Amino acid sequence: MNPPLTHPPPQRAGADADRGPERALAPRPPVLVFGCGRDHHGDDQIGLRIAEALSRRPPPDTHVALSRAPGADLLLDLEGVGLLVVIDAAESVAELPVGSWTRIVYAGRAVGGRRRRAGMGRRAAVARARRRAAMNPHTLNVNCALELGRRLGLLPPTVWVYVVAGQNFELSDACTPAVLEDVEPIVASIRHDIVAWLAKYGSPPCTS
Amino acid sequence: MRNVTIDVKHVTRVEGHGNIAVRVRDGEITSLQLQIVESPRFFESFMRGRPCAEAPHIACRICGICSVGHTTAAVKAVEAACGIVPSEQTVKLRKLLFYGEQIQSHVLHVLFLAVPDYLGAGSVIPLAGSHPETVKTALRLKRLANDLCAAVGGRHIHPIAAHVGGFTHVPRAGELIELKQRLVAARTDLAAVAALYAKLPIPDFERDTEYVALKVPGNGEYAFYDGDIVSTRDPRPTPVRDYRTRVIEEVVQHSAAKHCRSPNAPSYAVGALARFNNNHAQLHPAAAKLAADLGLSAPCRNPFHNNTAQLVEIVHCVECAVEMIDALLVRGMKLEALEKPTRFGQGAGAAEVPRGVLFHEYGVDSQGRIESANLIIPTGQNLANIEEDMRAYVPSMLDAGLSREEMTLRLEMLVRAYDPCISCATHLLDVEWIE
Repeated sequence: MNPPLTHPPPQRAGADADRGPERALAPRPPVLVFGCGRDHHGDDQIGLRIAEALSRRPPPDTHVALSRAPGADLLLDLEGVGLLVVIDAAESVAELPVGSWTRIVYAGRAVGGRRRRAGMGRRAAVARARRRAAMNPHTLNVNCALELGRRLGLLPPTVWVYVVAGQNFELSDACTPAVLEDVEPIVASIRHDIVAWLAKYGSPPCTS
Repeated sequence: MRNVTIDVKHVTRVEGHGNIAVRVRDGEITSLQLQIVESPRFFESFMRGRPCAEAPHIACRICGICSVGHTTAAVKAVEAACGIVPSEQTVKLRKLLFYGEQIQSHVLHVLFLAVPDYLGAGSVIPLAGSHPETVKTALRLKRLANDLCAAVGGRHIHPIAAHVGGFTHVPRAGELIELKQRLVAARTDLAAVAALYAKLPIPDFERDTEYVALKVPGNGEYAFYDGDIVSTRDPRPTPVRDYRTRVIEEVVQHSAAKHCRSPNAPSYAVGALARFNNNHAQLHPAAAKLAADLGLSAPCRNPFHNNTAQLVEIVHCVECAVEMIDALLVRGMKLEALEKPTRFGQGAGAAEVPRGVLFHEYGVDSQGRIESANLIIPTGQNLANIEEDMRAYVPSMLDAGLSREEMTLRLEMLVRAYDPCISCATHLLDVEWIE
């Protein structure tokens, strides 16, 4: 059984009353999915492929987006979002071998034991994410952007990061077969999780 | 007399990999290097044989920060080689795109990379905790600049609509009107940034330096897109096609990027401060006022004030972008056919990209294919000057009795003040095979 998720109430954290000259954003559904990665860098594209597959039959009230150059300014898109789902590839490590995947609840809790293929210790997963959260901001990666968003109070109350372990991140159009096999199971899992989240916290979209 | 060894591997908050290595024995510098350990990129080699129209789209991949700059320099060089004269609309759109990139890059550098040093934060991540409104302001400004680039160039980096001979897409009037409104509103954010910046303790260090930049003849505009080569030591204009008379490249052992010197000095500086020192009279009045408010006046020989000049240029570019949008809306925009080559030959192009003047030169064969390429990157031009600055700065820090840790931080700040893009700067190396 999947451990029960303990979500805070679906209200947007850190809403800033004075948003200055920022572009007025269209109302967004409560769930935003970002598939991250690079197309021609082998397994790094898996986040994009999973998001594409999810977008062909998206869960209700869910907007699916692809991010080939995730930047911190994406944080400005999170107004009104109650659940942010990020899908990204990571280099495999002993705790998370090639083809395995896990879901991290950003802000300290790693969950998803039932669907993990290999056991990545929760502490290890979170520590790894945090270690990588202070890299060169010239090219802010997903971890940096999330950490920046957390500190700025821009993140929605719930953030899930689906991490898929790959092994080939060199220039290549092909994914490792074991990684590619993950697409359908992860899509099904994400859809299941989002539907469950919506059933619990549901529409209409949260407001700040 | 002191013995100090400083080894910084790698300098953070710069693009690419570089090390600072300093040895001081008995108070004397025995070794000082800014080591560039980034792998060479080989762009000049693998562009050979490609159709010349592809040059901008290949060259822009050199950098994700200044991709518009590489696109622009490449477009201008190929157009010079092919006898193409772009239309008035094309030039206006290129300049507008250029303003977007300058704003984006300068905001990133000043607020994300440089300011954390002055506010005691290790990076923008802790800065978000201590100064959240500043970081949110930076995000808004950067987003605005990215959207401006996307509207004109087709996407926010690696512009896809900017081609040799023109654009394959023009922004809609509604897009430009919305962007103009946001640019006007951004003045409030910029005023807040300026107020913060005015309080920063900029180190007091000066060194007599030659500053090289493009300059538009007469009372023309502040040079980003056009101009001849001038310097603070030799203000006589040199056409871009003769850039090799002003820029002399040399291979040094400890750097995967070539160093540059001028005919006048063993090193020189390019970038925002160089542009300011050569072109301050052409600044938009709002930018000139900010420069005065911040105490920036030409000639300024303090490299740390490159960040100040970048902030001044952000204001300049915001104001010029507003005016350019007005000009485009008044004249109206339409999709124009790309201008065709009238000849093939040799051509050089230059643009003042965020980190300084960028040169591209291509030789194009009778089939319209690139047969030679030479790219001279701003960071490469600055490397020797950064070393000279460090060489002058270390003794003053020793005299002031700074700790090794403080000296290390100051040297890192000095390097960062130049906003180096090391990945861009490493290009072709001569490789000698010994059997």
